[in-house]
Amino acid sequence: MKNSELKLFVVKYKRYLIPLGIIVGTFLLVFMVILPQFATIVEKMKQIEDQRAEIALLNSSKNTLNSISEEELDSNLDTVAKALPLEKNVELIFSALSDAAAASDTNVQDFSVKVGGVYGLAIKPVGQAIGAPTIEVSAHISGADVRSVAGFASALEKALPLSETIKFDASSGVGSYIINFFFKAVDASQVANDFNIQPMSQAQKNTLKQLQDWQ
Amino acid sequence: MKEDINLVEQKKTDTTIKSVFNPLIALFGIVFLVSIGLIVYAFILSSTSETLADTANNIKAELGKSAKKQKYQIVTERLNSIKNVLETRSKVSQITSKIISNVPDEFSVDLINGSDREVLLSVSSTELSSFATYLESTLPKFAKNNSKVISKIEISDFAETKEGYTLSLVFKVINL
Repeated sequence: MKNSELKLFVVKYKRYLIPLGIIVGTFLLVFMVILPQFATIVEKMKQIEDQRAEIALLNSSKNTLNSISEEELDSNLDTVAKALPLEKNVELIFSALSDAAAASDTNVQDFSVKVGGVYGLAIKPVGQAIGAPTIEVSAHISGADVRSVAGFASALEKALPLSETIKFDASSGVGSYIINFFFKAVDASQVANDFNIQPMSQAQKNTLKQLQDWQ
Repeated sequence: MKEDINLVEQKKTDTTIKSVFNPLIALFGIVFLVSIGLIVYAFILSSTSETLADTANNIKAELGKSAKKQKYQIVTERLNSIKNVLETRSKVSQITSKIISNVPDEFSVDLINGSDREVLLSVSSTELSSFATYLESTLPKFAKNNSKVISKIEISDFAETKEGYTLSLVFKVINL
Protein backbone atom coordinates (compact mmCIF):
# COMPACT_ATOMS: atom_id res chain seq x y z
CA MET A 1 0.00 0.00 0.00
CA LYS A 2 1.39 3.33 -1.03
CA ASN A 3 1.77 6.24 1.34
CA SER A 4 -0.99 8.27 -0.32
CA GLU A 5 -3.33 5.27 -0.19
CA LEU A 6 -2.60 4.81 3.50
CA LYS A 7 -3.36 8.46 4.20
CA LEU A 8 -6.58 8.17 2.27
CA PHE A 9 -7.49 5.02 4.25
CA VAL A 10 -6.75 6.75 7.57
CA VAL A 11 -8.80 9.79 6.63
CA LYS A 12 -11.69 7.70 5.37
CA TYR A 13 -11.84 5.41 8.46
CA LYS A 14 -10.53 7.82 11.10
CA ARG A 15 -13.73 7.81 13.05
CA TYR A 16 -13.54 3.99 13.40
CA LEU A 17 -9.81 3.68 14.07
CA ILE A 18 -9.72 5.54 17.41
CA PRO A 19 -12.44 3.47 19.14
CA LEU A 20 -10.91 0.33 17.62
CA GLY A 21 -7.51 1.36 19.00
CA ILE A 22 -9.03 1.89 22.44
CA ILE A 23 -10.67 -1.55 22.35
CA VAL A 24 -7.40 -3.21 21.27
CA GLY A 25 -5.50 -1.27 23.97
CA THR A 26 -7.99 -2.39 26.62
CA PHE A 27 -7.66 -6.02 25.56
CA LEU A 28 -3.89 -5.76 25.58
CA LEU A 29 -3.93 -4.35 29.11
CA VAL A 30 -6.25 -7.10 30.31
CA PHE A 31 -4.32 -9.97 28.76
CA MET A 32 -0.77 -8.67 29.03
CA VAL A 33 -0.88 -6.83 32.36
CA ILE A 34 -3.90 -7.60 34.53
CA LEU A 35 -4.06 -11.39 34.16
CA PRO A 36 -0.28 -11.98 34.51
CA GLN A 37 -0.21 -9.64 37.53
CA PHE A 38 -3.02 -11.60 39.15
CA ALA A 39 -0.98 -14.77 38.77
CA THR A 40 2.11 -13.01 40.17
CA ILE A 41 0.16 -11.60 43.11
CA VAL A 42 -1.33 -15.00 44.02
CA GLU A 43 2.14 -16.55 43.82
CA LYS A 44 3.71 -13.79 45.93
CA MET A 45 0.96 -14.04 48.56
CA LYS A 46 1.58 -17.78 48.86
CA GLN A 47 5.33 -17.11 49.09
CA ILE A 48 4.80 -14.53 51.84
CA GLU A 49 2.55 -16.92 53.73
CA ASP A 50 5.25 -19.63 53.54
CA GLN A 51 7.94 -17.16 54.61
CA ARG A 52 5.90 -16.04 57.61
CA ALA A 53 5.40 -19.68 58.59
CA GLU A 54 9.14 -20.30 58.20
CA ILE A 55 10.00 -17.28 60.38
CA ALA A 56 7.53 -18.48 63.02
CA LEU A 57 9.23 -21.89 62.93
CA LEU A 58 12.70 -20.33 63.17
CA ASN A 59 11.63 -18.20 66.14
CA SER A 60 10.12 -21.28 67.75
CA SER A 61 13.45 -23.09 67.18
CA LYS A 62 15.30 -20.20 68.82
CA ASN A 63 12.98 -20.31 71.82
CA THR A 64 13.41 -24.08 72.12
CA LEU A 65 17.20 -23.71 72.16
CA ASN A 66 17.05 -20.84 74.68
CA SER A 67 14.96 -22.96 77.03
CA ILE A 68 17.67 -25.65 77.34
CA SER A 69 20.57 -25.25 79.71
CA GLU A 70 24.08 -25.76 78.36
CA GLU A 71 25.00 -28.20 81.17
CA GLU A 72 21.95 -30.38 80.59
CA LEU A 73 22.64 -30.43 76.85
CA ASP A 74 26.29 -31.46 77.34
CA SER A 75 25.24 -34.20 79.73
CA ASN A 76 22.60 -35.51 77.29
CA LEU A 77 25.11 -35.38 74.44
CA ASP A 78 27.58 -37.46 76.47
CA THR A 79 24.90 -40.04 77.21
CA VAL A 80 23.69 -40.46 73.63
CA ALA A 81 27.23 -40.41 72.21
CA LYS A 82 28.13 -43.20 74.60
CA ALA A 83 25.00 -45.18 73.72
CA LEU A 84 25.44 -44.79 69.96
CA PRO A 85 29.03 -43.72 69.24
CA LEU A 86 29.80 -41.62 66.20
CA GLU A 87 32.38 -44.15 65.03
CA LYS A 88 33.79 -47.59 65.77
CA ASN A 89 35.22 -47.27 69.25
CA VAL A 90 37.00 -50.35 70.59
CA GLU A 91 37.65 -48.68 73.94
CA LEU A 92 33.94 -48.19 74.55
CA ILE A 93 33.25 -51.77 73.43
CA PHE A 94 35.76 -53.11 75.93
CA SER A 95 34.22 -50.93 78.60
CA ALA A 96 30.72 -52.30 77.83
CA LEU A 97 31.97 -55.91 77.92
CA SER A 98 33.74 -55.30 81.24
CA ASP A 99 30.67 -53.60 82.76
CA ALA A 100 28.41 -56.46 81.65
CA ALA A 101 30.86 -59.02 83.04
CA ALA A 102 30.99 -57.20 86.37
CA ALA A 103 27.19 -56.96 86.52
CA SER A 104 26.72 -60.69 85.75
CA ASP A 105 29.60 -61.89 87.93
CA THR A 106 31.50 -63.32 84.95
CA ASN A 107 34.83 -62.66 83.29
CA VAL A 108 35.75 -61.64 79.78
CA GLN A 109 38.43 -64.13 78.79
CA ASP A 110 39.11 -62.57 75.40
CA PHE A 111 37.41 -60.72 72.64
CA SER A 112 38.13 -59.88 69.04
CA VAL A 113 36.71 -57.14 66.88
CA LYS A 114 35.95 -57.51 63.19
CA VAL A 115 36.79 -53.91 62.38
CA GLY A 116 36.28 -54.20 58.62
CA GLY A 117 38.00 -52.23 55.90
CA VAL A 118 40.40 -49.43 56.62
CA TYR A 119 40.37 -47.80 53.22
CA GLY A 120 38.53 -48.29 49.93
CA LEU A 121 35.44 -47.14 48.06
CA ALA A 122 33.65 -50.45 48.51
CA ILE A 123 34.15 -50.60 52.26
CA LYS A 124 30.86 -50.79 54.08
CA PRO A 125 30.03 -51.30 57.75
CA VAL A 126 29.71 -54.93 58.82
CA GLY A 127 25.98 -54.80 59.29
CA GLN A 128 23.25 -52.21 58.93
CA ALA A 129 20.10 -54.17 59.52
CA ILE A 130 18.20 -51.66 61.63
CA GLY A 131 19.28 -48.24 60.48
CA ALA A 132 22.61 -48.10 62.28
CA PRO A 133 25.85 -49.78 61.20
CA THR A 134 27.33 -52.39 63.49
CA ILE A 135 30.73 -53.73 64.38
CA GLU A 136 30.93 -57.45 65.09
CA VAL A 137 32.64 -58.65 68.24
CA SER A 138 33.40 -62.23 69.30
CA ALA A 139 33.90 -62.73 73.02
CA HIS A 140 34.59 -65.63 75.35
CA ILE A 141 33.03 -65.36 78.78
CA SER A 142 33.61 -67.52 81.82
CA GLY A 143 31.52 -67.77 84.94
CA ALA A 144 30.54 -70.00 87.81
CA ASP A 145 27.91 -71.83 85.78
CA VAL A 146 25.83 -71.65 82.61
CA ARG A 147 23.22 -69.44 84.26
CA SER A 148 25.76 -66.74 85.07
CA VAL A 149 27.36 -66.97 81.61
CA ALA A 150 23.91 -66.61 80.02
CA GLY A 151 23.26 -63.70 82.39
CA PHE A 152 26.11 -61.86 80.69
CA ALA A 153 23.83 -61.34 77.63
CA SER A 154 21.13 -59.73 79.77
CA ALA A 155 23.68 -57.47 81.45
CA LEU A 156 25.18 -56.51 78.09
CA GLU A 157 21.75 -55.49 76.84
CA LYS A 158 21.71 -52.73 79.46
CA ALA A 159 25.30 -51.64 78.87
CA LEU A 160 26.41 -48.75 76.70
CA PRO A 161 27.25 -48.61 73.79
CA LEU A 162 24.13 -50.40 72.61
CA SER A 163 24.61 -53.89 71.27
CA GLU A 164 22.70 -56.98 70.24
CA THR A 165 23.65 -60.55 70.94
CA ILE A 166 23.43 -62.44 67.67
CA LYS A 167 24.47 -65.88 68.87
CA PHE A 168 25.86 -67.50 71.94
CA ASP A 169 26.80 -70.94 73.18
CA ALA A 170 27.24 -71.56 76.88
CA SER A 171 28.21 -74.76 78.64
CA SER A 172 30.28 -75.74 81.67
CA GLY A 173 30.72 -72.17 82.84
CA VAL A 174 32.18 -70.97 79.54
CA GLY A 175 30.38 -69.13 76.77
CA SER A 176 31.20 -67.84 73.34
CA TYR A 177 29.31 -64.80 72.13
CA ILE A 178 28.86 -63.05 68.81
CA ILE A 179 27.72 -59.49 69.46
CA ASN A 180 26.99 -56.54 67.22
CA PHE A 181 27.82 -53.11 68.65
CA PHE A 182 26.00 -50.17 67.07
CA PHE A 183 27.52 -46.90 65.96
CA LYS A 184 26.36 -44.14 63.64
CA ALA A 185 28.09 -41.16 62.08
CA VAL A 186 26.46 -37.75 62.13
CA ASP A 187 25.16 -36.41 58.83
CA ALA A 188 26.73 -32.94 59.15
CA SER A 189 24.96 -31.45 56.12
CA GLN A 190 21.59 -32.58 57.42
CA VAL A 191 22.29 -31.04 60.82
CA ALA A 192 23.49 -27.79 59.23
CA ASN A 193 20.47 -27.42 56.94
CA ASP A 194 17.78 -28.41 59.39
CA PHE A 195 16.35 -25.42 61.27
CA ASN A 196 13.23 -27.12 62.55
CA ILE A 197 14.14 -27.58 66.20
CA GLN A 198 11.30 -28.98 68.26
CA PRO A 199 11.23 -29.66 71.98
CA MET A 200 11.98 -33.29 72.86
CA SER A 201 9.03 -35.62 72.40
CA GLN A 202 7.88 -37.83 75.26
CA ALA A 203 9.32 -40.86 73.42
CA GLN A 204 12.72 -39.15 73.18
CA LYS A 205 12.59 -38.21 76.87
CA ASN A 206 11.73 -41.82 77.78
CA THR A 207 14.62 -43.15 75.69
CA LEU A 208 17.01 -40.67 77.29
CA LYS A 209 15.80 -41.63 80.78
CA GLN A 210 16.35 -45.31 79.96
CA LEU A 211 19.91 -44.62 78.78
CA GLN A 212 20.66 -42.56 81.89
CA ASP A 213 19.43 -45.46 84.03
CA TRP A 214 21.75 -47.83 82.19
CA GLN A 215 24.74 -45.49 82.39
CA MET B 1 -24.90 16.16 -7.54
CA LYS B 2 -23.93 12.57 -7.05
CA GLU B 3 -26.85 10.38 -6.15
CA ASP B 4 -24.83 7.69 -4.31
CA ILE B 5 -23.82 10.08 -1.52
CA ASN B 6 -26.00 9.45 1.53
CA LEU B 7 -25.23 12.07 4.20
CA VAL B 8 -28.09 10.95 6.46
CA GLU B 9 -26.58 7.44 6.86
CA GLN B 10 -23.10 8.83 7.58
CA LYS B 11 -24.48 11.19 10.23
CA LYS B 12 -26.20 8.24 11.90
CA THR B 13 -22.93 6.29 12.00
CA ASP B 14 -21.07 9.29 13.45
CA THR B 15 -23.67 9.64 16.20
CA THR B 16 -23.32 5.91 17.08
CA ILE B 17 -19.53 6.18 17.24
CA LYS B 18 -19.72 9.27 19.44
CA SER B 19 -22.14 7.54 21.81
CA VAL B 20 -19.76 4.52 22.17
CA PHE B 21 -16.57 6.59 22.37
CA ASN B 22 -17.01 7.96 25.90
CA PRO B 23 -17.82 4.61 27.56
CA LEU B 24 -14.88 3.10 25.72
CA ILE B 25 -12.56 5.79 27.06
CA ALA B 26 -14.00 5.24 30.56
CA LEU B 27 -13.48 1.46 30.26
CA PHE B 28 -9.94 1.94 29.06
CA GLY B 29 -9.29 4.33 31.94
CA ILE B 30 -10.59 1.84 34.49
CA VAL B 31 -8.56 -1.02 32.99
CA PHE B 32 -5.48 1.21 32.93
CA LEU B 33 -5.93 2.20 36.59
CA VAL B 34 -6.52 -1.40 37.62
CA SER B 35 -3.33 -2.40 35.77
CA ILE B 36 -1.32 0.29 37.56
CA GLY B 37 -2.88 -0.75 40.90
CA LEU B 38 -2.00 -4.40 40.37
CA ILE B 39 1.58 -3.57 39.35
CA VAL B 40 2.03 -1.42 42.46
CA TYR B 41 0.48 -4.12 44.69
CA ALA B 42 2.74 -6.80 43.15
CA PHE B 43 5.73 -4.54 43.79
CA ILE B 44 4.69 -4.08 47.43
CA LEU B 45 4.32 -7.85 47.82
CA SER B 46 7.76 -8.42 46.26
CA SER B 47 9.27 -5.92 48.63
CA THR B 48 7.55 -7.57 51.64
CA SER B 49 8.75 -10.97 50.47
CA GLU B 50 12.33 -9.74 50.22
CA THR B 51 12.17 -8.28 53.73
CA LEU B 52 10.81 -11.56 55.09
CA ALA B 53 13.51 -13.53 53.24
CA ASP B 54 16.16 -11.28 54.80
CA THR B 55 14.65 -11.80 58.26
CA ALA B 56 14.58 -15.59 57.78
CA ASN B 57 18.17 -15.61 56.52
CA ASN B 58 19.32 -13.56 59.50
CA ILE B 59 17.69 -15.96 61.96
CA LYS B 60 19.15 -18.93 60.06
CA ALA B 61 22.60 -17.37 60.16
CA GLU B 62 22.23 -16.78 63.88
CA LEU B 63 21.06 -20.36 64.46
CA GLY B 64 23.72 -21.76 62.12
CA LYS B 65 26.48 -20.22 64.26
CA SER B 66 25.01 -21.68 67.45
CA ALA B 67 26.94 -24.66 68.82
CA LYS B 68 23.92 -25.33 71.01
CA LYS B 69 21.80 -26.00 67.92
CA GLN B 70 24.24 -28.59 66.60
CA LYS B 71 24.49 -30.34 69.96
CA TYR B 72 20.73 -30.41 70.42
CA GLN B 73 20.15 -31.74 66.90
CA ILE B 74 22.74 -34.46 67.41
CA VAL B 75 21.07 -35.43 70.70
CA THR B 76 17.57 -35.67 69.15
CA GLU B 77 18.84 -37.44 66.04
CA ARG B 78 20.75 -39.94 68.22
CA LEU B 79 17.69 -40.50 70.41
CA ASN B 80 15.55 -41.33 67.37
CA SER B 81 18.18 -43.77 66.10
CA ILE B 82 18.61 -45.27 69.58
CA LYS B 83 14.85 -45.76 69.95
CA ASN B 84 14.86 -47.55 66.60
CA VAL B 85 17.80 -49.73 67.67
CA LEU B 86 16.15 -50.59 71.00
CA GLU B 87 12.90 -51.56 69.30
CA THR B 88 14.41 -53.64 66.52
CA ARG B 89 17.61 -55.15 67.86
CA SER B 90 17.86 -58.89 68.29
CA LYS B 91 15.94 -60.26 71.28
CA VAL B 92 18.17 -63.34 71.68
CA SER B 93 19.40 -62.33 75.12
CA GLN B 94 15.91 -61.42 76.35
CA ILE B 95 14.33 -64.70 75.31
CA THR B 96 17.19 -66.85 76.60
CA SER B 97 17.05 -64.97 79.87
CA LYS B 98 13.33 -65.76 80.12
CA ILE B 99 13.93 -69.42 79.27
CA ILE B 100 16.66 -69.78 81.91
CA SER B 101 14.73 -67.95 84.59
CA ASN B 102 11.84 -70.35 83.94
CA VAL B 103 13.99 -73.41 84.66
CA PRO B 104 13.23 -74.58 88.21
CA ASP B 105 16.07 -74.37 90.75
CA GLU B 106 16.26 -78.15 91.20
CA PHE B 107 17.58 -78.39 87.63
CA SER B 108 21.15 -77.83 86.61
CA VAL B 109 21.50 -75.92 83.33
CA ASP B 110 24.16 -77.79 81.36
CA LEU B 111 24.02 -75.99 78.06
CA ILE B 112 22.25 -73.14 76.32
CA ASN B 113 22.74 -72.03 72.72
CA GLY B 114 20.87 -68.99 71.48
CA SER B 115 20.41 -67.70 67.95
CA ASP B 116 17.80 -65.71 66.06
CA ARG B 117 15.86 -68.85 65.10
CA GLU B 118 16.01 -71.16 68.07
CA VAL B 119 17.33 -71.64 71.55
CA LEU B 120 18.72 -75.00 72.64
CA LEU B 121 18.54 -75.77 76.33
CA SER B 122 19.92 -78.77 78.12
CA VAL B 123 19.05 -79.33 81.77
CA SER B 124 19.68 -82.18 84.19
CA SER B 125 18.33 -83.39 87.49
CA THR B 126 18.52 -86.44 89.70
CA GLU B 127 14.77 -86.42 90.33
CA LEU B 128 12.61 -87.86 87.55
CA SER B 129 9.48 -86.32 89.06
CA SER B 130 10.96 -82.83 88.51
CA PHE B 131 10.85 -83.42 84.76
CA ALA B 132 7.20 -84.38 84.88
CA THR B 133 6.28 -81.12 86.61
CA TYR B 134 8.51 -79.10 84.30
CA LEU B 135 7.19 -80.65 81.09
CA GLU B 136 3.54 -80.88 82.05
CA SER B 137 3.03 -77.67 83.95
CA THR B 138 5.88 -75.16 83.95
CA LEU B 139 6.79 -75.34 80.27
CA PRO B 140 3.23 -75.18 78.79
CA LYS B 141 2.48 -72.20 81.02
CA PHE B 142 5.71 -70.53 79.87
CA ALA B 143 4.89 -71.21 76.20
CA LYS B 144 1.41 -69.77 76.65
CA ASN B 145 2.73 -66.60 78.29
CA ASN B 146 5.36 -66.13 75.55
CA SER B 147 3.34 -67.17 72.52
CA LYS B 148 4.38 -64.01 70.67
CA VAL B 149 8.05 -65.04 70.63
CA ILE B 150 8.00 -68.82 70.95
CA SER B 151 6.24 -70.80 68.23
CA LYS B 152 7.16 -74.32 69.26
CA ILE B 153 8.98 -76.25 71.98
CA GLU B 154 10.41 -79.63 71.05
CA ILE B 155 12.11 -82.29 73.16
CA SER B 156 15.22 -83.22 71.21
CA ASP B 157 16.57 -85.67 73.75
CA PHE B 158 15.82 -87.21 77.12
CA ALA B 159 18.39 -89.57 78.56
CA GLU B 160 19.36 -91.29 81.76
CA THR B 161 22.97 -90.79 82.79
CA LYS B 162 25.16 -91.81 85.73
CA GLU B 163 24.36 -88.54 87.51
CA GLY B 164 20.61 -88.64 86.84
CA TYR B 165 18.52 -87.53 83.89
CA THR B 166 19.18 -85.07 81.07
CA LEU B 167 16.58 -83.23 79.02
CA SER B 168 17.36 -81.28 75.85
CA LEU B 169 14.78 -78.83 74.51
CA VAL B 170 14.58 -76.74 71.35
CA PHE B 171 12.62 -73.48 71.55
CA LYS B 172 11.60 -72.29 68.08
CA VAL B 173 11.50 -68.57 68.14
CA ILE B 174 9.45 -66.00 66.18
CA ASN B 175 11.01 -62.67 65.11
CA LEU B 176 14.03 -62.78 67.35
